[in-house]
Amino acid sequence: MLDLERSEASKIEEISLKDLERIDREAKNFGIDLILIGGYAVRAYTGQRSWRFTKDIDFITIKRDLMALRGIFEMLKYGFEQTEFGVKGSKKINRESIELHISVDKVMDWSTNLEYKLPEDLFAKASKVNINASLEENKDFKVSGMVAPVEDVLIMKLMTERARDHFDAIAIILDSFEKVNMQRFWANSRQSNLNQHVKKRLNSLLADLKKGLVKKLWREFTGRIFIREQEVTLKERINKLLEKDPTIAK
Amino acid sequence: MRKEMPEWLKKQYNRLWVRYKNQAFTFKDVTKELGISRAMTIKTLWELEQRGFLNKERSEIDYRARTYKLISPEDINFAIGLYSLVEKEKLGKQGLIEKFVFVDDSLSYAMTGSHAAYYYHRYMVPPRVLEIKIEPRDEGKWIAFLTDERTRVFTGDIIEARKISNYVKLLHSARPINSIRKKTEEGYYIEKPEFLLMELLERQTQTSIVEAIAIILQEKDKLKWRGSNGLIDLAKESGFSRRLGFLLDAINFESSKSVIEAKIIQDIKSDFRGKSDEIFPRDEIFLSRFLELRNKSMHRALLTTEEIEELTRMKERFEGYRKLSEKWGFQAILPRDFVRKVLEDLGVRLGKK
Repeated sequence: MLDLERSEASKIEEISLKDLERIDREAKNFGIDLILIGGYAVRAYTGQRSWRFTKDIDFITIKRDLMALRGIFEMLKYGFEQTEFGVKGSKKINRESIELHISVDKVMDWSTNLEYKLPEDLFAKASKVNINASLEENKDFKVSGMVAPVEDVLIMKLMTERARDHFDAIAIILDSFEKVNMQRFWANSRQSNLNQHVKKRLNSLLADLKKGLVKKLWREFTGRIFIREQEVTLKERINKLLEKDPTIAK
Repeated sequence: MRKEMPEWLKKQYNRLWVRYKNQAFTFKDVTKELGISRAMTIKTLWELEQRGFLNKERSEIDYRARTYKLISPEDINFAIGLYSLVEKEKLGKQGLIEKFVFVDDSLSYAMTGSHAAYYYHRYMVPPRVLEIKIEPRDEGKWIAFLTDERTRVFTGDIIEARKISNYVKLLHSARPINSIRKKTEEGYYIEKPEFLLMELLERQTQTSIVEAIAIILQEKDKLKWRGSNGLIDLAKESGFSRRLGFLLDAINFESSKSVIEAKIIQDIKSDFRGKSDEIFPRDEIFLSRFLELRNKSMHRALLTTEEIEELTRMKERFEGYRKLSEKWGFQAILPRDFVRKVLEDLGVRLGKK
């Protein structure tokens, strides 16, 4: 992000982070536990070099009645719209906007129509993480939130057909692989009947690595080259994940 | 940012320039040519690179392998001349954008790619790499002028692991820079949206297609559609009429209304006849997936019912715009969910799927 865009973006990031914290706090007051997924969750599990700027806020919850949140949505100027998956809102700031989504029980993907059912242990396994601002001007912001476990974030990213999500998945595998509980990863994939899909996606990432498509993806989203060392690490780790797939083990 | 060179560095630079001029050389070449130690070679190259007087390129295969090219003395003098015009108190404090505002018309340029697109659509945040179109003869001047503690300039692929605030990629413009750019309110030059859309349609990656759709949606009332340097003519000239017409039609189709005036689409359609064997977009990931599916389809007999079902679903994803493909006489493999997501995010109410 350039210096000029940065001043605009830093304002938006500041608002987004403040709103995130406020909504999370207010929701707790109403007995609604919100867990972060999406861009902010990816940021929690990736290093700075693979960060992408995010301003949209994506939460998940198991509480079905979210009407109690209408007040806080409206007070923060997001509007409040109930959808078949939960609630959403949007806040305009000059020419930009922050999108806010709360999905209930499951996360639906637009590109595949697949759904990820939230596992029972998701809330127990979620951890409070400091969410760092990506822009230097906001580095003093101390915002924290409950973030979905890395296994669930990874499955949600591998579930889609969108290249942007695959980039996020690659970044998570490169930066947070040691945090991934492979047993839980496969168990949760299976619970949503996504294990075959996830396995295919991982295999197709391996094929993409061979074809040089991962390099292209990396270049598209970071503008930089995917170096050989990253290539080797990614291949090793995907293979490790695949080896732990219980259907293969059997 | 220091641009002046201490005497010892000037000497080393001059000796290298006499020997290599604009040709590439390696670390070993420098040690040998200057007869200096490894430590001194590192220092010499680092000091030159920091000042933007040396262009370094890394190998994609082996990150450690590097080649260097010197920036010519004329280009260095030009950059030093520009720096001498910066007010003393601002020296070294200029941000990247301030530098572009400052350079004004002294060097021709136009911001392009994702950053320029973001200026118009304010939708998908661009990566840290800023692409600018320049005149090829100015390459060295730009490297010498823009390089500083926070900025590195590249002429090819960006292979850099160190954390740097700004990466700038220089691109050569096929058209005269002055004809493709406009000055922003902030005082820097940016590619006009009509030309930028051609650039994005030429790239036809997933990102560039999203950016093109977002610009069309956000700027549709301000875009110059007709006349010289209007979108319709530019698309015809560039051979992108099918791509542009198809995208506009897809936007209208998904929103079930004329977000884009039907007459515009008709005018684009009248610019060509017949069919083409073009596949759009030629995004390598889409293309690879699509070809994989096509191969699998040829071997259906070997697949299980479940696999056939999945294959059918995946094929439908890539062939969701069959009628529009026929209308525009090419094979569109753009998934509908891809277009719908941008529309939905930008507040366009969608029609039924």
